[in-house]
Amino acid sequence: MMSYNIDDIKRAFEIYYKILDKGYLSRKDELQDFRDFKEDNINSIIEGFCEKSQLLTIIKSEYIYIVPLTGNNKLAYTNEELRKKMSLSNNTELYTAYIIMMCIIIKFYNGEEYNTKCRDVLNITELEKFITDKIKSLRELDEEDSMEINFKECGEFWLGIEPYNEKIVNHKRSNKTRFAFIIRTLYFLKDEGYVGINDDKEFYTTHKFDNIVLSYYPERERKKKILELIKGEKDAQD
Amino acid sequence: MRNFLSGFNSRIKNLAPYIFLSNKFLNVSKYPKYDMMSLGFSLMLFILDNMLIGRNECSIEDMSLFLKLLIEKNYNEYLNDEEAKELTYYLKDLLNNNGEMYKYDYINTYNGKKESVDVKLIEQVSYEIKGKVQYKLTSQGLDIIFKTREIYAEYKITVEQLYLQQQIKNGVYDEALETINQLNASVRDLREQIGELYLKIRRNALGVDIEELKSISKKTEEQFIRETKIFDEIRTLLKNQKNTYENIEYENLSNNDRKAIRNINNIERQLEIIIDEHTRLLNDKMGIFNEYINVLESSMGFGIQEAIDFEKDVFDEIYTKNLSLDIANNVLKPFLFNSNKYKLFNIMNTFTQQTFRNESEEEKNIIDYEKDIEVQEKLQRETLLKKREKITRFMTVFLESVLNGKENLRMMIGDFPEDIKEKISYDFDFITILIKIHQQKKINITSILKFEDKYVNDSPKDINLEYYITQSANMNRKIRDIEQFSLISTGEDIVFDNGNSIENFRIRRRLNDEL
Repeated sequence: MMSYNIDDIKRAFEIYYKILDKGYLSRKDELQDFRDFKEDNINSIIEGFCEKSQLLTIIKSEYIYIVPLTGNNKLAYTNEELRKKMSLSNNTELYTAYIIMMCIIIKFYNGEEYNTKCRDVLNITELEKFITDKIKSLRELDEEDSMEINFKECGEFWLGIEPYNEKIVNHKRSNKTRFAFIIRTLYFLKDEGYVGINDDKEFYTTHKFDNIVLSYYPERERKKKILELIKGEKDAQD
Repeated sequence: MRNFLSGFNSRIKNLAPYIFLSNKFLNVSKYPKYDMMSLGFSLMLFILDNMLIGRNECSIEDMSLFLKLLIEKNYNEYLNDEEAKELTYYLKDLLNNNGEMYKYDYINTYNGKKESVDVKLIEQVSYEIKGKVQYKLTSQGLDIIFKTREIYAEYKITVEQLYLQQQIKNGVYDEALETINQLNASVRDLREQIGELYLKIRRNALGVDIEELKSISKKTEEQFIRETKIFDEIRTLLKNQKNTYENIEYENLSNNDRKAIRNINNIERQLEIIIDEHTRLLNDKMGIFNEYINVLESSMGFGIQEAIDFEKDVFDEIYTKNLSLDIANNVLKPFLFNSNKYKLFNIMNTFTQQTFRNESEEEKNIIDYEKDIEVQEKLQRETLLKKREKITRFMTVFLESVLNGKENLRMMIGDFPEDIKEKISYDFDFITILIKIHQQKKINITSILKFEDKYVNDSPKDINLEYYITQSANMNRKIRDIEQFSLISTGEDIVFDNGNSIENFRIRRRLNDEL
C-alpha cells in the first residue's frame, strides 16, 4: 500500500493543473515538472486524478499530454459548446466540422502503416477535394435514405455549397463555402494547439496532434472501444 | 547578384543527368509490366562492372544476356534471345537518347542568360567498320553512379574536409572560404538527418528496425571519430599558416599576405563554429540508441498498439451507417479538451482596472459578414439596373437620331432631350459608347438583331454595344430600319460649356443592299 504525504498531493495537483491549463508539459521547457511527473508517488496521484476525471495521460519522450476519454463531457467540448465556440449555426455545420477533423486525421496518418505520420503539410484545396471525392464515393456506395439528420445530410450540405468564392475576403467569418468551413475548423484546431496554418493555403499538424493521434487510437483496448461504440450505435439503429 | 548563385551552371550540370533519367524513364509506355527505371539503372551498373574489372567493355549481347537473367530472376519470365535483344536495344536507346546528345536548356539565374547542358550517360567505345560495337559509361554516367552510393553521403564531410585541407596548404584561401561554407551546409545537413531520425523514433519507435539502428549508431560513431580527427588537423594547419605570417614583420607583409591573414582569420572563426556544431551532433548521435530505448519503454507502458485504419474502420463506418453526432464527438474526444469549461467569475475583478477589447465586435462580424456580402450584391444589382436603364435610353435616343437622318453629332445633340444633352458633356458611359461605335467602323444592326436574345451585360463595368442596340430596337422597332451605320471622323471638335470636348462625328447610314 503506497502512502502519500500532503506535499506529494500538492505537487501532483500543481502538475496536473498545469497540464490541464497549458494542454501539455514539455521536457525542454518544464524539466522539473516533467521529472516530478514521473516520480512514482506523484505519478500515481496524477493518474488517480485522471482516472476520476475520465482523462488519459499520454507520456512521450519529449511531452506529456492529458486528453479526455470517450464519454467525457465534463472536461471536453459537448456538441453545443463546440457549436458556440466555432460560431456554427446548426448541427449540420457541426457535422461538417467533425468530417473535416476526421479527414485531417486520414490525410496525415493514413500511410501504408496506419500508425505513422505520412506527410508534413497539406494544401487546403487538396483537403477540400479529398472530402468532396470521399463524400461522393460514399454516396454512390450507400443509397439508403434515413429519416434522421445525420452524417449523410451533412454530405449533401457539403456538396451543395460552392468550393470557393473569391468575393469572400475573410474565410474565417464565412459559412458559405467548403473552403471557409475548412478554414474555420483549422482555426479552431489552431487555437487548441493542434495545427499551424501557412497563409490560409496549407497547414501542418503539431507535436500535440501527432502524439495524440499516434498514441490514442492505435492502443488495442481503446481501438476496440471506439469500434464497439460505432458498431453499438449501428446495432441500436437496426 | 548574390554570391550563392555564382556556381549555378555547374550545379545544373550535376542536376541534368537526373532530369534526363526521369524525363526518359518515367514516361515510358512500352513494357508496362517492367520497372524500366530499375532495369535501365541496373544496366548502367552492369556496364560499370565490366569497366571496373578490366575486361573488355560490354557488347549488346553481354547486356542482353544480363537482362535476360534479370527478368528471369525478378519477374520469373523467360525471354528468348530475340526478345532480350529488343529490350536491350530499347533500354540502351533510352540511356543514350538514341545516340543523340541530350540537351537540357535552362536559365542561368546568376547571369540571366539562357544556357544548356549536354547529357550523355553511355557511349560506344569504337567506331571501327568491322569491329564489334561495345559500350561504356561516360564520365557523366560514372559520376551519377558514384553519387548514388551510400558511401558518397557518408564521406561527404570527409571529402570536403580534405579538400579544405589542401586549399589551406596551397594558400588558396578565397576558395577555402567557399569550401568552408559548403562544409557548414553539410554539417547542417547532418543535423537534419539526426533530427529526422529522432523524430522517426519518437513518432513510432516500433517502426524502426533495431538492427538498422545499431548499424547506424556504429557507423556514425566511426564517421564522427574520423571527421573530428581531420577537424583537429585542419585547426593545427591553420594555426601553423597563421604563425608563418605572424613571424614576418607587419611592414614587410604584401597586400596579398594581408588579405591571406584576413581570410585565415575568417576561416578559423567559421571553422570553430562548425566544430562546435559537429561536437554537439556527436553527443546527439550517441543519444539515439538511448532515445530509442526510452521511447520503447514509454510505448510499453501505454498498452499494446495495433494498426487502425481510421478511414475504413472509423470514418466510412460513421458516414455510411449514418451514425449520430455524439458518436463523432466521442471519436474525436481527445481533441476536444476544453480547459475553459469551469472558469469561475471572481467578483473582486470588478474593482480592478478594466481594459476594453474589440473582441465582441469581431465576433459579431462573423455573422454580419455574410449579410454585408448580400447587401453589397444587392447594391451591385441595383447599380447595374440603373446603368442599363440610362444607357438604353441614351442608345435609343441616339439611334432615333440616326434614323431621322441627322448628319452629324452636333445636329443630334441639338435634338437630344435636355437631360441627355447635359449629361453627354460629362457622362463617361455616353462618351464610351460613341467611341466604341466609331472604333467598330460599321454597325450592322440587321446582323446584330439576328442573335438578339444572346447578348448579356451583367457587369456594371462593361458596356456591350450589341446588348444595348438590341434593347433599343425592342423599345422602338423602327430602329431596325437603320440597317447599317457608322461614325466617321471629321477632325472637328464639339466643345461643351464645362470645357469638355468630343469629336463631331459624321453619321453615315447605309442599307444592306448598298455596297
